[in-house]
Amino acid sequence: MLINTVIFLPLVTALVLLCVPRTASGALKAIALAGAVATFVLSLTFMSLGVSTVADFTAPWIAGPWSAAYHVRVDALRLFFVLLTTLVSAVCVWAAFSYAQATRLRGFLFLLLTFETTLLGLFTAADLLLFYIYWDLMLIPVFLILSGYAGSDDARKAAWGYLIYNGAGGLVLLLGIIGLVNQTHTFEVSGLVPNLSGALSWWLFGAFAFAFAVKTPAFPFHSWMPATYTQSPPPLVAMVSGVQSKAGLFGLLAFALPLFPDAAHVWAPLLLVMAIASILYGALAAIGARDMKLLVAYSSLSHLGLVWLAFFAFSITSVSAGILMLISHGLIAAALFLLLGFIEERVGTRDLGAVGGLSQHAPRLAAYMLVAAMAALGLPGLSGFAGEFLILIGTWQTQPLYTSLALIAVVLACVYMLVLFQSLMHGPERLPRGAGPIELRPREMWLVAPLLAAIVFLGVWPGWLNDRTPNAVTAQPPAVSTTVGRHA
Amino acid sequence: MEGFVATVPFTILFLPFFGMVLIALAGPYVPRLGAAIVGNLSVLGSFVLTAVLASYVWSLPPDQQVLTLKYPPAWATHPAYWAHIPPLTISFELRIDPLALMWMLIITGVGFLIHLYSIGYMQESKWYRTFFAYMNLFVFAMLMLVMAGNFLWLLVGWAGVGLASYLLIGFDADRMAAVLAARKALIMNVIGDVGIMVAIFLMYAHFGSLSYKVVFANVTSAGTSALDWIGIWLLVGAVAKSAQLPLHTWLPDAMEGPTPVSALIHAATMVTAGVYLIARAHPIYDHAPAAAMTVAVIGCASAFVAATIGMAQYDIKRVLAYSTMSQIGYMILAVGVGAYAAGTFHFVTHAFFKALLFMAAGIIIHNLGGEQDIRKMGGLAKRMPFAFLTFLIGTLAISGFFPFAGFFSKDAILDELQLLGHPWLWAFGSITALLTAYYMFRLVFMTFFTGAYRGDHEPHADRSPTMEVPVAILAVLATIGGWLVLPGHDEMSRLLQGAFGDRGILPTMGEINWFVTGVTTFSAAAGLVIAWWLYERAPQLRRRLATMFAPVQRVLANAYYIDTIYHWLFEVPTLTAASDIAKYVDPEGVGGVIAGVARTTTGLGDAMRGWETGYLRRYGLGMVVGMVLVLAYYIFVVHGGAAVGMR
Repeated sequence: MLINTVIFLPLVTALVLLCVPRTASGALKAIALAGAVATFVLSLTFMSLGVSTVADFTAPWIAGPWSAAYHVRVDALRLFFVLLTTLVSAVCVWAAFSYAQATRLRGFLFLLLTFETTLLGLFTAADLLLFYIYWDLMLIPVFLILSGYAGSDDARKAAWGYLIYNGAGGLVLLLGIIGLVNQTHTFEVSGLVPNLSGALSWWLFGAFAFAFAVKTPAFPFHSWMPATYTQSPPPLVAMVSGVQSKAGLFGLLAFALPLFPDAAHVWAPLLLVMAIASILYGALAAIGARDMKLLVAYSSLSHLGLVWLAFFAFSITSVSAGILMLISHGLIAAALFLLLGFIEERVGTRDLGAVGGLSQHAPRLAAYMLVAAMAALGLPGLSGFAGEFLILIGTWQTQPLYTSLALIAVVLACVYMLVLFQSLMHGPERLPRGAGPIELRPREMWLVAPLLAAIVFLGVWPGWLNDRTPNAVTAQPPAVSTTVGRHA
Repeated sequence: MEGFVATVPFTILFLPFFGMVLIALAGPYVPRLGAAIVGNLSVLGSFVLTAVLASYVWSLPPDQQVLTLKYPPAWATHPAYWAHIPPLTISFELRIDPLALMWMLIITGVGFLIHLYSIGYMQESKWYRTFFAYMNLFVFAMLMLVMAGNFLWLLVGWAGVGLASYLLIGFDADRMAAVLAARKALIMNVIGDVGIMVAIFLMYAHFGSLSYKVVFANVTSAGTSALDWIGIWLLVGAVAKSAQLPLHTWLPDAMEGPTPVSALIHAATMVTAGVYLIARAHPIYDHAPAAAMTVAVIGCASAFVAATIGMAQYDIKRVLAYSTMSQIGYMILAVGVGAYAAGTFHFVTHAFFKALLFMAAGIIIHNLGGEQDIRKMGGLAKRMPFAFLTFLIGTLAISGFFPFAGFFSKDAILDELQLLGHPWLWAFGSITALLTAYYMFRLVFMTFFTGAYRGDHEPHADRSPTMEVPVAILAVLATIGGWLVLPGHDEMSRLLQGAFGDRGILPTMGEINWFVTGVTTFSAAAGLVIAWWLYERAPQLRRRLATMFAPVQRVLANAYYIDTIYHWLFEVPTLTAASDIAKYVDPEGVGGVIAGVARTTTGLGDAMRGWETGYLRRYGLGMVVGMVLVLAYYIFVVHGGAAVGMR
């Protein structure tokens, strides 16, 4: 039952919030934060299960030839996605306190907590129907926050762009699932032992991959991203880029690759090109971006492109390192977007050209930004490097050409992260008139600190995570049929 | 002894790190001097322990002088690895051997002297405590680099010193020149990091491990061409870090950093990491003749080219920066031809005399209120006798005059070039020796002589013992440091024997080749005489020559326009492409096309406009209803309700 408690505790907390008067902001904050932190603490107990056991819960749901079960589990593959979700969500709920007018705080917190439950549901679902339901439910809180709480026309447009684009992706995923279940007659993953014709599995894998590429996003399906990432309030964008963007790549590992191993190999050449395009295009766009959140958004495109490369290079090392990279990117992106949110809140602009020299007034903010930027840049000793290095050492063995191209992005990443960090922090002081004190407040320092601590920890000792995801990936190239060892 | 060997190296490594953490945590709650003391003591502690460790290691027989330390130790029940994705395993491991010890002694020893010097030099800085924290970070990362037991930890240290260098070059963060110099340094260093990464990937592919022990033991199992490629990619890293051609352009700009930084990072230690890397990977280069030759040629070319540029510069620190590039060229040349002991020897003496030169120059700059242009100096010999004397010793040492340190090490390198049969490399090395003496004495004459003082403000002559004591110590070392190798008594090769085996003891280090020594000494003397003639005796002749060779002068003053070439070749195209993508292609191209198609084909745009007037709740509700309808359609209509058991 622990597993269901973790999944639904945020939702229950959200419902409790509805019983509290809108004006009692102190109580609202306390309840929301307590719920989110409790979820995180509870999710930590999954760690004690060790690597050989899993938390698993099954209840019958829909019987018949198209059977589905309420089947959730936490195993080596899912564990760190769950932990990432609970950690980032707790941080973001805390961060959210200052991003809504007092009267609207309740709704904001409600939606963030609901969002957390949908994410947890998604990462624990071991049944395709369940997975799909969460896949689409995820859109609602994001859409509502974006259209309702950012308060500008641009944000409302961004919300629609997000909804339509991701809705379309979801629809294609649904078609793929239906096509599959039409053959297997069950949504249960353990029952999904497809014996599909080559052509059908080619189509189905394509459908899954399309939906996942939209969600991540990957080039050229990323055009919902710039507006969504720049317009979202910081806690939301931290959750979307930090956690939700992992949904597609998680879906690949948990479902698409084990279900359609042969089709994955047929698709791989195209998807590898897509990966490299994301990596290089994202890096170049980030260098050119003048909007600080947009810069980080494009850097996400580049970094997650690397994970596509990792998965479709079909090397055991790189697929496993891809998980590390996803977790690491989640932490780094969340930290960066929160910190940029603090800066935007103080200076009232996202324009890199309008701000400068902040480090003179805010050495702590500068130190925090330095760690986050260096992690994104891939500095050895921080988690970004560990993911990147282990991916590339693996892909080099199977795809040296693409790996060489990806290495160009390592240098480009240095350029855009320095542009971001130095434009904001160094140079002659430039501040828009009326900007308040710049330095981080204690609350802000404490809430970002866990993310930075995790970034440092995973950078110094990524083997700790490797050892806890041992059977997540046991692929043997060229057949990936056992990609997810425990599900096969 | 077990416990001693297991704990001391970790203590050496982490003392500077904890010093940094302490300074950072204490922040403004301790007085400025407190931070300085913590920084100094932690590095001094590391030095003392290194000396103890070194004396222990060198007391062992040469074939037992390599200590490998793994964490956790082999008997631990829970092994831990930095990365563990079988078959890939990367351990936490250190390797202490004579090569590492030589570097550790210089890093902590010279590092301590420069920390001491900084107490006074940085007095007026607003970020005094931060400075010491960064300097400690540097010492920690540099120790990591040389103490690493596999290529991964080498890379961690490698990038760590890059970070420290970046932070300290841009230390005066409100000056745009410093900010841009820092950016350039880090970007070029990351290019080098990528080079090392590729070498690592190749090594993993061929040897299945990154551990020095495994790689070096199995070196012959890979073919020559594979080893050549590994060697070339390692060289890319070495070239970027050591400011050799063609990735050298960041070093002159790095002089934007405070002078103690230039002395420690951009002269004595970090920039010699490339030399260390090649000496460390010597089993690879021993079996990769093409790569080794490339190393030697690049070192030789860098030594020569940098010396020519140094002749035409007017910023005292830039001249020293080009001289650093040139002297490191000698070291790279030496390790490229396999003269590892000679290269290491020159590293040691160079650390003494180049740190000395920078710190003496720092005293001058300090007392001139930040002036660095030698055209605005002159006649300072009488006004700053201490700076003059110490700078002169440094100059004599770098020029290779007997009996100063540089004489012995430069002579050792040139000797070995002759002996190993590289007459062309030797010839260029000797010409460079002449150029070195010329531009260094040009610097001495323009700064300390050539008539009266030409500057705008009156120099003040502050004397601070914390600045002068370390300079004096280095002056002594720059004088006697070369006596490690005397005729018939080659202490350097003996010390390094455990690291290089037979390669350490080339016969010439302790012998005198009168021909080579004669040419070297003659070159140095000729450089001195020419500089003296042109600057003290016949300034008219100098001016005439300057007009005659004006175009040459301009090319040299602009460092062969390499920066300009890189600007147009790399920077402009990348930045243009980037800003075009961000401004036009992405918003209007990729995004625009897709949105346009969606709007025109489905009329979604119109539908949306009508919807936006509604309540948020309706959007959400509508979507869920939509999804449910789609789902229901498939379940009930397509499959006649079979899916939910309604037959």
